[in-house]
Amino acid sequence: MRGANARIAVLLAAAIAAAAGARAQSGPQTGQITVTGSVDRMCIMANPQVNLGASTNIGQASGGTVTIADLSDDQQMTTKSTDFYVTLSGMCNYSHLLTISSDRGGLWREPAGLATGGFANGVPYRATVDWGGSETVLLASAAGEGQVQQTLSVDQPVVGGVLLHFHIDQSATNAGSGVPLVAGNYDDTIRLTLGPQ
Amino acid sequence: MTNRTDILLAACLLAGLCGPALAATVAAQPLQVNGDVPVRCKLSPPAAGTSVNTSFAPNSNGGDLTLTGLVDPDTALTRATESVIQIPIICSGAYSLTITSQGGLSNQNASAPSGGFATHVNYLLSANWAGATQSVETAGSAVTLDLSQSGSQAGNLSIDFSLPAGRGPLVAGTYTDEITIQLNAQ
Amino acid sequence: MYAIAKGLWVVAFAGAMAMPAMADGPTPANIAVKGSAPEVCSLGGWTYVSGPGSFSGGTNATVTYSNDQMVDGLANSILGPGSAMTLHAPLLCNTAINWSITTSKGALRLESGTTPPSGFASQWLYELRSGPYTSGGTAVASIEVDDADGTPLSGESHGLTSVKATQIAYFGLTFSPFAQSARMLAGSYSESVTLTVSPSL
Repeated sequence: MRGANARIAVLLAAAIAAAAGARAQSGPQTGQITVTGSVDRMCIMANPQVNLGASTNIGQASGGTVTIADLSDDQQMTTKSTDFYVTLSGMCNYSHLLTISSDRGGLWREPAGLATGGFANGVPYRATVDWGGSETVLLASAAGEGQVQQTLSVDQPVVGGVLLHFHIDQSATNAGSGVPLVAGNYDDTIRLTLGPQ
Repeated sequence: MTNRTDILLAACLLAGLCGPALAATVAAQPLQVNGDVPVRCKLSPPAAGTSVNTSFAPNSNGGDLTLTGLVDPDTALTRATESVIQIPIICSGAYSLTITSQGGLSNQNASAPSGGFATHVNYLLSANWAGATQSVETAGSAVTLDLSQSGSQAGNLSIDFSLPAGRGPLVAGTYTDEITIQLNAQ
Repeated sequence: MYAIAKGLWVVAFAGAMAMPAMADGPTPANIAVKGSAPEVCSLGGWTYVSGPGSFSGGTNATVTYSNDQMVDGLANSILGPGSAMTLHAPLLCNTAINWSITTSKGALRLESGTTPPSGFASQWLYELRSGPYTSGGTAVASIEVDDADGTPLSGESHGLTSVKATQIAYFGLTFSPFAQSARMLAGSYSESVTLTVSPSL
């Protein structure tokens, strides 16, 4: 059916020409699909969990607040040694920075005012933070009232626990070792942040 | 997105990894630390300072101030007598501090004066504390000096007992008074 | 004599008919016609048939998953068979063909190539279903199913006879990520799949 063959050849040529923007080719053709996606940089940090069993001189811990049982020694009226440990579950899926900061630079009386003769109104402390296999120490020396901070550069993503150890030396005050503390409520806020380098 | 948010919160609770919000590039948690220093006061054992015709012996109650030459034995008139006693005091906050005299030296053996001889002699009580001095001359009934303050203080409370010469003459006997120092945290 | 040229229909009567004498009756005239069509294939641009990602089309198309389609708020993977994407490319061939599929990585993988630390993953494996279909959506031959294994796929070559090849209306490809319990590193992920079609010689 040679006539029939010829007819088909004409029809095919027309169909190929109509195909979506393509030219008929007699050689190999390729089409490529690229699948892409982007995962955001994310960090999360859970609420602090205080290990009361391992603490010294802690009255209570709830929510994000830790209350020291007795900041001053009954007899000497100076600072009483204090320790507590906190864990915060955390995760960053990119290389990041951990920042630990103290709002006031020490456990200061609220309000701080001026230290009157023979008394101290600020308590220095140190906060040691372990995260992602590295450690940094924030010294809140209560030398002056103001923010202090420390950063830890973490060059890989990490999932785990931020471990914080808060420590106050016996007799440590901003007016010298063993100086009695002025009565009042003392506080500071420590801030932990996971974010970009 | 409510459904998805609920599912994610439930999942994070199970995993023990709940943050205050869903993940963002930055995560932060505050930790507030606070501690209370109560008002405490401490009163240390007293020590004698200036001493004229007196001798002071501290004890667990405070001390015994002995007037060793209260009167001239010939005239029964008082001799100049003075004693300064220092008491170290510290209070970390507001306190009340009072010094009370029962009203002067009174004869324990005879209560009524007779024939021009007295059975009671007054003295001057002064207290120096926190840079200020208060004084009172006893007058027979209890009297109090109030040295209370609203702020922390540390230092020496200085109590001055003084009696001039020439008072009386006094009936023979033992003359006593009690000076009470009360210190309380407020 | 009759002269026929390739591609042309020319019929010529030339000269006297040198034929033996015949009895009276109709004289037969044969026209032998011949033409040829080249072996051709025409592969059109991709269209996005189904799936959650965004699409930019053409012969080389890109499909893109958003962050919220790939991970949850804790960076845990949420891709899975429900995230499958299907694309079609028109394919018309008039002869036997060979086709093959290759992939560049064998995984939807983090472009930076960072080795993930403990607790994290940097790629998704997937299933790839590919093959030619008629206009009614029936598979012309058996569909190739590949499970990505993290190494590039240099695909087997599939041959189709002319009879089969001429039935093809489009080439269909479905990319279906495997669900995985993993926390994903931040960054850009990619994989490319290449279809090669050529007429058999």
